Amino acid sequence: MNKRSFIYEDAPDENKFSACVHCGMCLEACPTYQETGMEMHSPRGRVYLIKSAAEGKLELNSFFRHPIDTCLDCRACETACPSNVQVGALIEETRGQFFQADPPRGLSAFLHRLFLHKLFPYPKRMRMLGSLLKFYQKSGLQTLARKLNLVKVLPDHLAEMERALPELKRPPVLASGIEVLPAIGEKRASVAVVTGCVMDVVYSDVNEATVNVLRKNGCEVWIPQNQTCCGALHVHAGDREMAKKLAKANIDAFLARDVDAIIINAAGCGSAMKEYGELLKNDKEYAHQAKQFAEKVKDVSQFLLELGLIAPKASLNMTVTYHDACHLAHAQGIRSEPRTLLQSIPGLNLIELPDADRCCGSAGIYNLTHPEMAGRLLERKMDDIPHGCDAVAMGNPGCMMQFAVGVVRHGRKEEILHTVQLLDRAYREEERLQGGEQRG
Amino acid sequence: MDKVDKNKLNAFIQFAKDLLGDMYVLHRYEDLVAYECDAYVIHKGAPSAVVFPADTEQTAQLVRYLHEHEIPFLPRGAGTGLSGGAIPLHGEVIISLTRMNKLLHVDYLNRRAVVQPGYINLKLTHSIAAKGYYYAPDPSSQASCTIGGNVGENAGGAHCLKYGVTTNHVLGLKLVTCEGDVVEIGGVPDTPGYDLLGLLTGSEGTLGIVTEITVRILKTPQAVKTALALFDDVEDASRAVSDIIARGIVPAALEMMDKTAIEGVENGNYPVGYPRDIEAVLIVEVDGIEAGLQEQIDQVIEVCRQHRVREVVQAKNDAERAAWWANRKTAFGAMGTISPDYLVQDGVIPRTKLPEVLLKIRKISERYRLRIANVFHAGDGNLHPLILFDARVPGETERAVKAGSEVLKVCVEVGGSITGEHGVGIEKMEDMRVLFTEEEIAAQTDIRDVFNPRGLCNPGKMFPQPARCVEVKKPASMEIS
Amino acid sequence: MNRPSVPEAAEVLAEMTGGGCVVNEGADSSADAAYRICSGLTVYPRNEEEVANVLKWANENGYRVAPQGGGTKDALGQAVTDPDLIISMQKINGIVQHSAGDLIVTAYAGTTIAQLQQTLARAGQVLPIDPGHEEQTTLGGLVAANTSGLKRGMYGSIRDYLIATRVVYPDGRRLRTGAKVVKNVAGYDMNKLFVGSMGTLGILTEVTVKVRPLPQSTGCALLQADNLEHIQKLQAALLDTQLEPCVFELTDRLPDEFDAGKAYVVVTFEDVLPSVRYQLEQLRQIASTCGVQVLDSSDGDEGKEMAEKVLGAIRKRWPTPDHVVPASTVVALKLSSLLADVPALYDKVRLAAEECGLEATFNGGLSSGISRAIVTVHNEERVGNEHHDEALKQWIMKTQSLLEECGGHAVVEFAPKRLKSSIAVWGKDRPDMVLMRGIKNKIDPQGTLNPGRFVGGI
Repeated sequence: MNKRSFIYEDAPDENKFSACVHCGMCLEACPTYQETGMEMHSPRGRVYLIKSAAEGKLELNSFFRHPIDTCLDCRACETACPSNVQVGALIEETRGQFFQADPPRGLSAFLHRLFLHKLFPYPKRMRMLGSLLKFYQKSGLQTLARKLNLVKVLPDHLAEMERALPELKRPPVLASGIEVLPAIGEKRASVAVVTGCVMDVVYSDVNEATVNVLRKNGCEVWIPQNQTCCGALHVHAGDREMAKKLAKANIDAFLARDVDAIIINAAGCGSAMKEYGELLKNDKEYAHQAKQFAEKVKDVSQFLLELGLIAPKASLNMTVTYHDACHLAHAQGIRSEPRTLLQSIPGLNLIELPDADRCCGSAGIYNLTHPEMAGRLLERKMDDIPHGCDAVAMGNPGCMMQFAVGVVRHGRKEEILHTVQLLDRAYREEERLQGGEQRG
Repeated sequence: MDKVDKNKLNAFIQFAKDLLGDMYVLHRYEDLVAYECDAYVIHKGAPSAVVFPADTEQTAQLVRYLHEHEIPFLPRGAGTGLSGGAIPLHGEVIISLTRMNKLLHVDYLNRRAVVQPGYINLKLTHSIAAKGYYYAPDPSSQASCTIGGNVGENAGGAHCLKYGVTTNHVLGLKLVTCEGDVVEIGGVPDTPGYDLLGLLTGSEGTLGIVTEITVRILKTPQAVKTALALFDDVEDASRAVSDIIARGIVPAALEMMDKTAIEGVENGNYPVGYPRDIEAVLIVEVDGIEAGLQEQIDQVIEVCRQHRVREVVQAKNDAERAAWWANRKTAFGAMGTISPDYLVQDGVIPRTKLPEVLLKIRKISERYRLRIANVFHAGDGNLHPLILFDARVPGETERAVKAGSEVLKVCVEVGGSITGEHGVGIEKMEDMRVLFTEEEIAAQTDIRDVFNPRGLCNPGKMFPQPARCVEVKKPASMEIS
Repeated sequence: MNRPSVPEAAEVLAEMTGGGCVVNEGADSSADAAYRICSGLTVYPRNEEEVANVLKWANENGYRVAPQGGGTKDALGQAVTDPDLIISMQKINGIVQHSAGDLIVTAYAGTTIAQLQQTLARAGQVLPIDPGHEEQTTLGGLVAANTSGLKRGMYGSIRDYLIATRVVYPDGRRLRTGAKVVKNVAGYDMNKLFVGSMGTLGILTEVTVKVRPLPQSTGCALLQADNLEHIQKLQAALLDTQLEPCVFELTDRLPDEFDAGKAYVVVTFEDVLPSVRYQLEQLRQIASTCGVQVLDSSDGDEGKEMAEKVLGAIRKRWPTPDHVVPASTVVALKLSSLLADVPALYDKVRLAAEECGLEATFNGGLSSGISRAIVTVHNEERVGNEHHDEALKQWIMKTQSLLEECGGHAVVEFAPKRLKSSIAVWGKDRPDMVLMRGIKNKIDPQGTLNPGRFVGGI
């Protein structure tokens, strides 16, 4: 009789891996298989390894861990899979086993604790970090550091991120302290907005745009002050304990008020929050609420179309291409919605990005942990951007950061924008014109 | 055959590392586990090593070494084969061709393209589509499977009714022989001599390793029309199939699924929204010159109506057609949603025997108490009965295997074959005896011995052994409990 | 081994075949003898069992055997020595089974193509291969010689239709290859082994092929160009469209009523009438942009008639021993090349003939890459003329190297034996020869079947 190798709580679910019939339809959907051509770096291969471990044929050692770690968790395989195998969940559950069997040590432990335990869960600390970054940019320190080549001491990818970091002009939305913003025009719905941790610091302008677009569409917007990090990165890293804590905090924060929907503009966070039900399925106290919560979570593009978009009237004369964030397209099946939103902007010329739903290599913190593979994927992505684009739109801050790095690294000129930013621009342009008319 | 000797193997691994670089040689247990099987999962065996050559020369050097040191080996593409052809039952070294994945040359004027064996089938069509060309053979796994693998298996597909299978589209090959020599075969049509091209295509990796393939490319048809017909009776659908052919129409594709199959695909990732209570669905596609094509699909629709179709519609646009095909082409995998395991058969029958054979399959299903879903290329009589079982239930695997063999016997009884496009591999070695006499099998192994004199290249496949060396693997869950 | 004498053999073989053994007395001196397989004995077995018995006997008694169908390909292959015995398949003919609903037909190997097509036509079907000389060409011969015709560009060759055979090995084993269904990958594709194998591995007794529905309509267009560049343009343009030409043939002559001594292109379409009409119209437009003139075109019954007349005339030029005009020498070459090389070959091969003081006729498949070049010279004397023979040899060799230069090959499809003894009719040996010899030695270790007739001395 064999011993099962998954001895910790939340072991990979047998029903999930037994649905895999090893047909191989997922192979070419997988970015790491495309790059390596090796079976253990493919979705089916990884599922097979997980199954083998469950049967006791493999131990939880570093050789088994490696292919589990190289997974981007991009879920492209789930789109390709005829049998709906939840590869992402299996990977996350397996990482959970590794996290407990062999907790992070050394530098990776330090980074894990710093970011995932000490920073992301604490909005105030994130704000502080944001202020520091802003100070760094504004004070001339950035210029100085660049002149003195101080950034050279950073790993390549971080150094590029430093250069790619957008100018932090706006304060975090959550920090404004305003809890409820009224609808503009007739009220059609009341919603809660997830501001996110990184998003609100680095891309707070995206949050502003989100709020503005929602209000323009007749939504009363509530920004719960007690919200916290969604826990997506913790799940990806296998740190399910922390992820569950964060999930519960968010459930408490958001279910405090009855809203029509909980709106999120970050694909990674969105898909994690939609999976709270799965994460907490064994938690007696929270299982039901988690399900309730998950059902209310909507990506901003998904919600706007369900509500019925009030299209902007002003035109934006731009050529734009759209990148499918993995956690929007593959994890949530949201593909047409953002494109429809973009096409509803008068004057905007939307052209397709070849292989738009292939991972850009960002994948949470994958670009930090696996810079070489992430770099190869980014290079292919940049090569694919059609000529003559003014901007690349997408629905995930991680991808935006990765693309921004790509723009720097490859000397490109495209603007990297969130889908709602373009909508917001059109609404503001509309307001400007109306204002002009009134004045004129 | 015994597993490979440890010292011999270590020496080979060192040789391969020196030749290819460390990262292109897998030999750790954890890395090899994933290579235990292809898309046929009933038998398993781990390789001694997996090596990834970058080109013909490296492949030849590897093979030469393996030949000289008498280490068995086998070539592997994407591992989507359905008959176990790429499973190393005897600890063979796997020569993986996934690194040799380039499109080397496209010659539009001469309508040909040269690809490496690891090049993905569908990528070829994608690469040449902008100029209005495509590669015709379209196995359901075409998004993942390699053209090298297609050559090995002589892969078919939904559209081979009109356009033929892989062998009709291969013009030339570069072959690393089992001894490690490199020979070019074919090129322009009717190369003098025996048709080695035809012999190698479908030889399941037992006659050498193909490292370059010249294929024919075709101009994308001007127009495509697709009809979808829902029947309340499988027999009506089968008769409609025969009648369409009798009208003198050569459809590009003529596909059928029965009720159980429909249940699978509708639970799967690409549902079309078929009513769950229909007994059969038929997809009929005609293509070619636009002028006169609508009349052809109209005729098809009329034939369906004559056979008591419940509903028949024509695809309104490419998106609708694509949705029907995505549903059909993922049918095997989608069985995972209604059964933890399945065994897919690949028998071929004269298409006029369809009603009779489907009835017999139903009887087999009842007798073995196993559900059988039918997904098939009705136009060319190529059946894919999917025998659904649960390997965790003691005895079910064995019952499924037996039921499968019975299905094949039925196919042969009505004048058909045991495999139309999946190959014999491990799965149907014994069933070869149903179709061929010992003499006829010997005539084939004689040919193998010419190409593969030491029997090192993919040994123990395709042909029945005097004593079967493979046992049906005990299902995993039985081992655990 | 005590090799039986011819009379002894004749007696045994007659016994085996119900008297079906003929002793050929004396040397044949007719005009076509130079192109025929000559042997002291011809056996006419009536069924497969008799074929097996005869072949087995020959194999055991050191008698070299040439299988023969309609005799149209007697002049194909290296002629090293005459065989001791001809096994004629003429008596083993007829349709075994035509399953129209399955688009499959099985016929005995000695069935003529004409006979086969008649049966199929009654059910509105056809084997879309047009080897010419269909009254003589047998199905078995078609497979063994891999003969194809003008429709190859669209329909392919016999290897694309052959799905099953019954074959007799030299040791008398009677085997089946393939299966009688349209798709089959059980074991090696042994059918292919016999396609074009020139009777060196076994004797086919029964052949099963896929067939197609007869086309509803045929359209035919005759085009004429002043120079080859225009034809090259037309070829590139037409092949890059979605049109589906059935025949797309470059030829240097047409039936008299059309002929004006220029380069011509014959195009036919086979499909439903609206499609045929559309394609003819498109062709006219393409031709005009390429500087090619459309001489004539028609569809419907007229189109079919015109196609038959023009294509029939081209096929008739391909020689068989039955069609050699007395006091003449005929050499025919089959050229295989890339499609794009066909127009240039038209010029080069004819020019090569001119340089040798000969005149060659040419027809080349612009969508198939198969061309034929034929030279006929009138002998000044009854028996071959040295001067002509030398010129013909020069031309053959020149043409073979022309083809090799562009990655193709030229096979001497038809020539008198005296010429063939000093040329390599199959062209240069290829590197895969080792494997081919291996196959031959495995199946026919005694070298009983057609020894020396095939590539590399097989």
